[in-house]
Amino acid sequence: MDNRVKDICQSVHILPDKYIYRVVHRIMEGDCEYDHGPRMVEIKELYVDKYPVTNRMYKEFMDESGYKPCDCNNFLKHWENGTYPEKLAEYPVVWVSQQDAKAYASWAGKRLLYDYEWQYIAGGREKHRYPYGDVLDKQKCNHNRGSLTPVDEYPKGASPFGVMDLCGNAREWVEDIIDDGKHKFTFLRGGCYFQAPHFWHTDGGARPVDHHLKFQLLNEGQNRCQTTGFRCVKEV
Amino acid sequence: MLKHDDKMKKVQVSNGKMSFVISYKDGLKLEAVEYHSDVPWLQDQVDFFILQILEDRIHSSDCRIFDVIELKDAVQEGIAFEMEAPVRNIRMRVSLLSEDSDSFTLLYQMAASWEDEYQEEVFMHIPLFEKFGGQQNRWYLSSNPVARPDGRSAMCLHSEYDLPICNIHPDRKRGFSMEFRNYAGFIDAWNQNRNCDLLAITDEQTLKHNKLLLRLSTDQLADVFEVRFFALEDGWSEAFDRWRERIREQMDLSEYDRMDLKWYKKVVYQHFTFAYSKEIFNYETMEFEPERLIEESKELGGIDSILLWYQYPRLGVDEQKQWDFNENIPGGKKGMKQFCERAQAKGVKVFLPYKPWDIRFDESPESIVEHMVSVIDETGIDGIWFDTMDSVPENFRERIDALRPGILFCTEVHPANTKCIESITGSWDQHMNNDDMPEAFILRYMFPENNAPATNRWAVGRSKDNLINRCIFNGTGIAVWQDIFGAWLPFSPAHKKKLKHWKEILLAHIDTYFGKKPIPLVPVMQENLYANRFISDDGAEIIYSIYNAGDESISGELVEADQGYVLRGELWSGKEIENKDGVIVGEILPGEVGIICLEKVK
Repeated sequence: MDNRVKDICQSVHILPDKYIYRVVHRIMEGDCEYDHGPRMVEIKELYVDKYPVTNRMYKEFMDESGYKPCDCNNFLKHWENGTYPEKLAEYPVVWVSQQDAKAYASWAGKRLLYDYEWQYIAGGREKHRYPYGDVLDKQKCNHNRGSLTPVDEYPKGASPFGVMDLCGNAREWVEDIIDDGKHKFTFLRGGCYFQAPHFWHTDGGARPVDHHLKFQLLNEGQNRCQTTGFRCVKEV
Repeated sequence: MLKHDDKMKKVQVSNGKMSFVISYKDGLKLEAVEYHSDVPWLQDQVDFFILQILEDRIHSSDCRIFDVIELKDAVQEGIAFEMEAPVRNIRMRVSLLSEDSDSFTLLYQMAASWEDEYQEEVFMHIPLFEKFGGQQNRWYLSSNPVARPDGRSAMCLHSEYDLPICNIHPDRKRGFSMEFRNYAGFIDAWNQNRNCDLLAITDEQTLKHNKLLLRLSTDQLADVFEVRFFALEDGWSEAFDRWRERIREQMDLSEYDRMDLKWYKKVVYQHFTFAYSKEIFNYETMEFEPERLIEESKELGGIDSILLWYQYPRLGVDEQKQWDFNENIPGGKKGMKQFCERAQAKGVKVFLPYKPWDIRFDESPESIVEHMVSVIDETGIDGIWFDTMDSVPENFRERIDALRPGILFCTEVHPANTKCIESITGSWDQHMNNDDMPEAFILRYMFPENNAPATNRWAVGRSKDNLINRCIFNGTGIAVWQDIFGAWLPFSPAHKKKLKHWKEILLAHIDTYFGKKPIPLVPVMQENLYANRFISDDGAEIIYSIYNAGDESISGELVEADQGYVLRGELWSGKEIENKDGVIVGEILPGEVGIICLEKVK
């Protein structure tokens, strides 16, 4: 394992803390039946993945676990013949559903980040608007570049905890599933490389740390996205 | 007929139904307007115009009439007055022309030769409206034909169609209709013809004290005001009916005669089906359940179509297009085909939406319509619902017809213009206001063949009652929309009971409700009452939908009964009503509707 891969597989130690969680998002139509704060939340002691899970890492999981989802529609759609194109090894894995992500996390003895954890880890105790500071900086994240980049493309984009690639590039699934009685939904975090052109499209590009995107769940084929990956966390 | 006495400087133009007398002895004045040559309609003689340019106020008596020209050809006759103002080099032409045996057109044209090229503002007042009709006469304004209790229009209007302005005698029969030609394609442009200003007026006082800002650019005469007068013998109903007929006879409405599209006529309860909702989706089996939705909808009278919605607000999360999602949903296109078959087996049609805003660099109208063709061909859907759209590119219809007949086009909102009404046979009467009374929707009465269920996605509680009242008041179906992209706003059991009852009535009287000659906002007998009239094409049945917009119950006289008809009853609440000396007498509770049904005497 070369040094680059070693680095990508690292975790970052997060000490217990509390903070005032307040999250917002663009409001189009529909409601987001969720307590957006402000409210006190407690962060446990965690080891959080320094980088999003990559194609290479997901392939290891596939090989070792034999994971095969019940509904394979769109599953790892960008892979060919059961594997990723070599040049995409250290790119964030995408075209995985929240369930696919959880399957990986479970195999790794981890889980996904809860929405409030993601926000803390991305903004730090300083509550940065973006992981690296308070102003959008295209030199520090993949904001609207039009395609994914390797997870370590923006070393200056680190959060105060040293967690990487949180903003832009690939959106990230979180652990939460909200059932409001009539719907099931979750949140996507961080924004992504892609920004659709029209007013009616969901917003894209790198998103501020205190923004989440409501993602309404349907069947797995529809849940899998070209822009969405994940990272894991392990509770101490 | 034109009578011109050049010694007395007087002109009379008449057609048997009305007569206009013009004097040009001391300026240009309208001396008299007579209804049927014997009923005076003008309270006093009036100047044709008064102009204001900076500090100069110019009456017609200040102007020099330098020519009076009799006009006549095989079809028309009339008179034209050529005039010039003493200041500012303003030139005018006022002409009155018989349009046909039935109407006159009064036209004002003006021009200005500015000393330099810089124009000044020219204001014109037309005193005619101040003296037109008796004090007790009723005005029907184009932008506010009948006012609600708070003064706003009780009719939901459409920018493409300008209602006439009418002045009706208290007998509700005799009157004049004035149609203002409006060729202004772009309403915000400052067109030289100011008919648009008069059409926009919503209260009587503003009409009477009108002040029109003209733009006189050059010495070429420009139309600044043009009105066509009709004498009425049956008041507002006749005015609306004749105006509608003049519009319709210029249109090609043959699309509505297509046998393959006739099925849509009875698709009165449509369902907006948000896919990401337990209303249709089962999160355990990860499958859609159309049978369950259809069964549960029986509580509100049953649904006739499903609009399955799975693209917005998901679009934009990634690069996938709307067409990609057809492969993603349960079973992909094959699953959709099964979905359609399952719904269709229950007698329910299926629509899919098309989103014009989800377009990328590599798409074109041609590629889009081919996508549509593919979806229709592979899934068996019954229609396309055009999201956010009030029009559809023409080639779409031709291309889809070539694939398979019978595919219905429905726009999300009111059709944009005449061309759209001609070519798109379905639309939704969608509104988002939560007004306290149902409006009469103008297109419903102009084009009853354009099936337009009402919907108000954000309505809750009382607003949902208002939505149901709008359906009953206008005699339409409804687009049942309970899940607004994740906001669950269901109809209550009481709402559903109402909807079920309404659907039974609507279907039982569908030929009456969708007859060709409905009239909106017919005269009523008491304040705060509003009524629409529907008549079957064979004349066998008449229905009045009547609404009480007041805060208190209204009892007593409601509407006049039609002669030759007997009262069948009140269909909505079953309350006692009777025909007393030609007037329907009954009670309507505040905020409630009544449905009065009459049958022709056999």
